[in-house]
Amino acid sequence: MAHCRNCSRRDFVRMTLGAGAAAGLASKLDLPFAAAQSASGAKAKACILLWMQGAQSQLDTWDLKPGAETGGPFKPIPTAAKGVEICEHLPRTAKQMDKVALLRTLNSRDPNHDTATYFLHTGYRQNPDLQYPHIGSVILEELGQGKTDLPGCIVLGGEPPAGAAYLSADRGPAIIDRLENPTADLVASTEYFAKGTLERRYKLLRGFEEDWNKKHPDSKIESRERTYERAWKILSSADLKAFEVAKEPESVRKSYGDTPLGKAALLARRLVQTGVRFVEIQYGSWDTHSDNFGGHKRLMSEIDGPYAALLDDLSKSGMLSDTMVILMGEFGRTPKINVSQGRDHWSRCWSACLAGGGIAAGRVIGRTDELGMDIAERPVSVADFYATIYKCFGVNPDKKYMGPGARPTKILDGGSIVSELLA
Amino acid sequence: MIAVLWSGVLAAALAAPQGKPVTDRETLDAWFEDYWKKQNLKPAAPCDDTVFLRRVTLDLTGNLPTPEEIRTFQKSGKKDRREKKIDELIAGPEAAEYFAHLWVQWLMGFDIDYRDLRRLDLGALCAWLKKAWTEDLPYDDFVWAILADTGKLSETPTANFAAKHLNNDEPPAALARASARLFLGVDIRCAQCHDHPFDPMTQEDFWAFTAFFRPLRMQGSTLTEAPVPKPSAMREDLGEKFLEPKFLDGRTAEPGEPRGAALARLFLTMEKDAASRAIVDRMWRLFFGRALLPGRHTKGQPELLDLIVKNFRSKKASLRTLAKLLVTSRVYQLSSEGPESARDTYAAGPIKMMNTVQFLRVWNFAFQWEPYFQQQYAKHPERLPEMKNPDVFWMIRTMQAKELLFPKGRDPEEVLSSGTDRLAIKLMNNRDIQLMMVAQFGWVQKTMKLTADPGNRIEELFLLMVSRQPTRAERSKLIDHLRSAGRPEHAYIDGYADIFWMLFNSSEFVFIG
Repeated sequence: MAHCRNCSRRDFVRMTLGAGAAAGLASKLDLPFAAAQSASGAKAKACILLWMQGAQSQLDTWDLKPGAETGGPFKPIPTAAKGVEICEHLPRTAKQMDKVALLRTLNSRDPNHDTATYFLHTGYRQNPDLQYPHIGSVILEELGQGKTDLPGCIVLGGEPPAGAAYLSADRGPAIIDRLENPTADLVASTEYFAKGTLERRYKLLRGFEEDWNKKHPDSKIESRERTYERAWKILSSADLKAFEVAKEPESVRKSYGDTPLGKAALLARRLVQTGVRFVEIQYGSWDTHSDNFGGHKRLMSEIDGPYAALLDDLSKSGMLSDTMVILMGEFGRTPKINVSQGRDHWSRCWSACLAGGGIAAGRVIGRTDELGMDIAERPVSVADFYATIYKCFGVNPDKKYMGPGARPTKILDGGSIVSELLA
Repeated sequence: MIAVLWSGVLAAALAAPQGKPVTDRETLDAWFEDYWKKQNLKPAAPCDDTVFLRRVTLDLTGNLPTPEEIRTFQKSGKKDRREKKIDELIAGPEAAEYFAHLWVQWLMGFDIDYRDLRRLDLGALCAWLKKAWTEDLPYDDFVWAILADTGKLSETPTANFAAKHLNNDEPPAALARASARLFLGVDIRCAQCHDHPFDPMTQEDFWAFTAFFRPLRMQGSTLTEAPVPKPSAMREDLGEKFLEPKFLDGRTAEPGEPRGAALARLFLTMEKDAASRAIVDRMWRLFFGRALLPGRHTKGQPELLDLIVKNFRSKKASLRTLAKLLVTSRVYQLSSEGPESARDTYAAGPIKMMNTVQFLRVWNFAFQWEPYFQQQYAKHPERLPEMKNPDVFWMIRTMQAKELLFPKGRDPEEVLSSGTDRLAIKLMNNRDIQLMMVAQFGWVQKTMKLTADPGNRIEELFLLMVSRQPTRAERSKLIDHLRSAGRPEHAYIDGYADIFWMLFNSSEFVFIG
């Protein structure tokens, strides 16, 4: 417990509670301190996931093979992390790589978009008979709702492949599927209607409903009433101002960029600051079966600024110590370049970037072979990857939730912590 | 005093006659008389005509009664008005459409996506299902067509069921599971992967049952049957074992019997009328919101189920006759007011959240979307190609509605939803909905053109949305509201928009009470 020498009083309390809860597990595994250490090691309290939908080509972004026949035209550049090189089209990101752990050997053997997207969002392979919860729902369930009326798990820019599943519905992602105007359903009333319209209507509704609801006392009706109370709480919440990205100083907005992704990344930071546990931004499509290099050059130019600005901003404000930022997609792309100058689906090895919340900084984990076809050193499975993320959040992967049909289901099935990823 | 007397007279008039029950309805009512007596329950009073009309119209057509229909029904003093209305609704095109759309959801397992719209022929399937309802196709023939028929999806629409659940690269486990669940009401999915300690069905039983579907393959848009080469392992973990098709109860096909015919026969002749029990239970759940078949957490009402199944079999397995029996029964027509425990024990009428199909039909009615889209389609047929077949258009909308009504990853058959946060936020605050509310083609504007009197306008909006007149207190409170609401320059429309908003966001609107 030497690494805990400087822990605060609050950390100590949390550690003791964690140790108590995990005692059963520890005794089963015959490891008296392992569980206590895992609780004390948890630093992450919130997460921003930048989902690179459609699958990035690892060979053109994070794991370049210059000179190899599979390498493509892009050149590597040095970064702020010693000895770590990434693509020349990510110049601003390069300056932030001293905060990032770059994992180059993620693998899943699942080259299908739908099932792999699901796998990377839940830690479980898709099962036709049992739906698993979104990673954000699990983290929200385990760490609890933050100090905000806003939903604890928010997805921007697309539909996530998984929801609350067997957790309670309010753990499910609140989906704001438009990146262009993410606030459409949230601020319509203030934008298009006179001030006070919604409040006037909501009061009218409450008065009107009272009589009928009283005559029909019913759990379904009460549950719907609670849903409306929650919705009203969100719509009337002072925290709704987290969505007003335009209120940020111009220098900050400029740094993130006046683009849909730039604004969404800034919004994600504001939401986490407000107390939202998990924010996912979906961005793509990286599915470049033809013109891979043109597509990737453009997309890299779009993500470089927002991603770098987010890391820089979180780091300067101190938020990066307990906010994890993950950038990943469902798999990688084929080393072999196809006849349309494209790359197809490749799940034998690809890269993901992690930062903050207890993740090691400025480090590369794993090595692929000379052509980038296979893993040469340190394979990391999706379960290992998840076990490591959950470790940072102090989530016990062996904890069981009760699934439908009274089927107990572990938070994560298998997987070993990748210690090199941890700070 | 008068009210007490009157309710007594009414109850006596509606109670089952003292003598031996003659009609099917009387038999069902007598069963409940007996049940209430044994359970020491006091059944609620019958619901009034307006509540009845809303409940039965939603349950038989998935839509709301119009103000005109409500007024006519209220004025009709005829004794048999309820039964006449039921007959009229069951025979109408709206019921055929509603049940067709419901069946598409049931057959497809609630997860139609755009890929399905491209590879299947849901338009043809809907047309077939409507015809089946209109012509009152006996349920046995219905099941037979869905389980046994093969062919081109457009020409043999029932083959769309198998096509939806088949994947040529995988063994047909999904199709086997869907068939057992839909047509027998049994959940066999656990046995797919393991032998369960408390379940007599083994993993090998599962794969032997699945073997019935093994010859089915999709070739383009045609469902075909091909011989299965031996040996073909169904699953690696079962080894190289070739499993001969064996039904859930151990029976097999007769020598020389075609596969599809054998399968349909085995389903329909399973002991205790299992297939009939499953559909009777499904229809009961549709109207009463709770099951008759015993489940994991519920005892069900097996005795009552037996009674209705017997009747169903004696009526050539007619779904229309079954629907009529259920909605004419006294228990269906009880008032739903009172504590939840009364509804749980059938001592009060049902309260249900609208299902996806009802929600969507009512939603389209409330916002006048369909006429709007049809108008747009007539102007620019190339812009809305999916409008070409209104059923397909409906399916697309239903997909979207399901996402709003049910949290992602929840099976509408397994959860009772009361709507998601996302839906509530959308209904309360979505820009398009707010604007459509006051659009030229919307009810607010139409109502304002219809009459100038504020009280009449409020009444019209109430009839449209909650199928009843406002009470005197509601009317006067809302007239006051009209005076104070909104910006002075368009205070009037703001006030009516508020009322319309209030109505479609209310529990009374989304629950069928």
